[in-house]
Amino acid sequence: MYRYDDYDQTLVNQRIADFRDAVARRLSGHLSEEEFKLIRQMNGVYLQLHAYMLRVAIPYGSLDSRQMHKLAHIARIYDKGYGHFTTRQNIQYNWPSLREMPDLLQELAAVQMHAIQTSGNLIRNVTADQYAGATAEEVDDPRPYAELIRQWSTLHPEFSFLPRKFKIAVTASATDRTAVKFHDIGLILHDDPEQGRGFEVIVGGGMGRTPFVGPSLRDHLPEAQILTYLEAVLRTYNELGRRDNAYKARIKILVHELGAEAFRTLVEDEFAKLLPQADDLPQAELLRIRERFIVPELDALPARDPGFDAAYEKDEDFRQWVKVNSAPHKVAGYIIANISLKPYGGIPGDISADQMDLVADLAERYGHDEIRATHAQNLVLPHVKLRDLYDIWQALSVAGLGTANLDRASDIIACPGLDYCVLANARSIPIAQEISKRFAAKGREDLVGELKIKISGCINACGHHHAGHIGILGVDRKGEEMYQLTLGGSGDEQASIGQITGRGFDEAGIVDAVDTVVETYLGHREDHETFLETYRRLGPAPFKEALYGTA
Amino acid sequence: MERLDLRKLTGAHLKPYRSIDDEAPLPDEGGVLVSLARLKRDRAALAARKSPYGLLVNGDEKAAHLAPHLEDLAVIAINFGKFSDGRGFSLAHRLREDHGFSGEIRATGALIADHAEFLLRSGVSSVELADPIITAQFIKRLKLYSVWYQDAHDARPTALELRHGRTRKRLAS
Ligand code: SF4
Repeated sequence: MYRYDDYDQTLVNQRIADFRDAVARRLSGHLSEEEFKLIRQMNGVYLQLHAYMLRVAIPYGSLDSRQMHKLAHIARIYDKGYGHFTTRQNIQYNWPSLREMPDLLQELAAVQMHAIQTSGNLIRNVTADQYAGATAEEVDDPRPYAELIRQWSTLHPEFSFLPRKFKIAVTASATDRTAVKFHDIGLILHDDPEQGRGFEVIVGGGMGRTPFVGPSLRDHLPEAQILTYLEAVLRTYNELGRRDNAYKARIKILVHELGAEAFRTLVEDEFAKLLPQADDLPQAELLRIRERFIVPELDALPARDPGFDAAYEKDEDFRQWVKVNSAPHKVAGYIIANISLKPYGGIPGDISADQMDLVADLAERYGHDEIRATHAQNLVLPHVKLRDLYDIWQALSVAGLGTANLDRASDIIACPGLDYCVLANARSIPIAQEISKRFAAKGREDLVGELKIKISGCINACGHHHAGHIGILGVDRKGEEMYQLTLGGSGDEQASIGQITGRGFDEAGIVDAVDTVVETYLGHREDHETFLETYRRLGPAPFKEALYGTA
Repeated sequence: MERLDLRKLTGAHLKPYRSIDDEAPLPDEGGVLVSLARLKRDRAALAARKSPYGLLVNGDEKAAHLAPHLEDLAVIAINFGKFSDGRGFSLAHRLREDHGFSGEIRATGALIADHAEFLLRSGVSSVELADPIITAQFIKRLKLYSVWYQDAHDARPTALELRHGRTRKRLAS
């Protein structure tokens, strides 16, 4: 956890005062809705189908128990008793009133949180690996870099009115949990034996109408030059990105239209001009940020715990949950515990105020006060002791948070869809619920293994369907809600974009179609192949045949 | 750059400039703004007048196109066509940073109070606003903030400088 200093806190407070003023100007008619839209979005306020929505930033997905308790409080006081974790490690509230927003933001500020730049055409909340600081796989904790970028991008004088939104992700692990190659900029930290510490820089990935796995612009960018390089990329984009058509305004289109080589040359020319002038303050700042990170002091423990072993032995449900929802920790005697926000038949990412309080309590009592939000709309307790895991799981289970389905068929990412979103063609949430119920039968998910299903209610792809092993896209066919199916997408280190199978399905048909695809996989898989491996080996043919017959 | 004086930045204290169409005759007196085409064509006539003159360009103009013509310009006015179009910020930045323009950079066009900080910190030194209410809001807004993270073109210290007790290279040089 990064702790604010007075400067960070002052800026957040001043931003709220400013927004309070903007709300007053809007309510008194001095700002048009169009002008206000620009400002409210920069402050995280979005207009949905039924009401204003507030998206609260959880920078790089890290929060502590005090913050989680505050989120619960806000859900109770300003919303209908729940919140919704998003695919950007943020949390959304769907029902606060505009008039109350400034007060709500002030409450957040009291626990060093804000909603700055969670919406609008600017650099959005920076995301990072949810296992940061806990996994042995990583080169180093990526979050101090993400914090450096958060500060640099906050109210940036030049890059706050970009052609379109701009998303940055940072990871430092071999296993990519951030979908780094689907971001406007993806940064992968490495230690090169000759060149030292640096980043591979991916630019121009993205989902939406035209999905791209982003090309790598730089194999190695020295870490000290990161902000200068970002400045070069952002200036090039701000000047040349298309502003005539919102669907073509993301940086991925610019990179694609110019070609990665030509784009790289533009960026490198700008970068070369900036570099001699570049200050080394950011490097000093990185050290300061590292010092202000609360790194939990983990105990020296034996690698095994008899209590844990006994519970694992005797309680089958616990055993199942440990197998599916936990990941190894870098320190002996510790483990990473994933909390699924995807109960069978539930709304993906939704969490009640009481559940938030429970997670906060568990983190405080057992988890070195750390909680993470994931881009798959789940939560993580990154530092728990093996010996406490059974207690934790029991408490979670009682509260409906003990579902053992991480990265399984029912761990579905779904966008808000037609239930909330003005742009939607079709509903996403009910489809997710139906599929989830279909796989709830005991043992079925186990048999299927890792399977990522992702659902978007329209081509904007907020549900990341392009990166789903199975992707579902809501389309409108003559006023009817229809669904297209894509197969073979992946958001991991071997990123790929799913391919459309063929003609779409109606609401009942799409759930059957997913079932058919899964059965086809089970019929064809060899040994321990995952769905994605089987699909990559066989290609779409057997799946199409099963779905549409041999036409 | 000179110290920021909020009173001189906008409102009644702005030096008046008249924007002159390409085909209209130059007035005998008073500051004028002309297009790049007119500047190239009538440079001698502009220089012969006693009053200051400057350029009026759109936010999407390329700084490099202006670079050969910056000498003797009292002002460059950047017109923001839409309040969501941020290209003018990069143009202001480049005029200062890449081309060392030290005269007045004035923002005009579709501006609202919420642009205030962003404009000043990108290198803009004066702002022409549509009406007195917006002007008042603009000034009020500038007084709201005291913390900035990024290295920018106003001389006010950033959070990073204050934290580390030193001045940026860009300003020190
Ligand atoms: S994908 Fe479409 S329907 Fe879903 S949240 Fe995004 S814009 Fe709305």
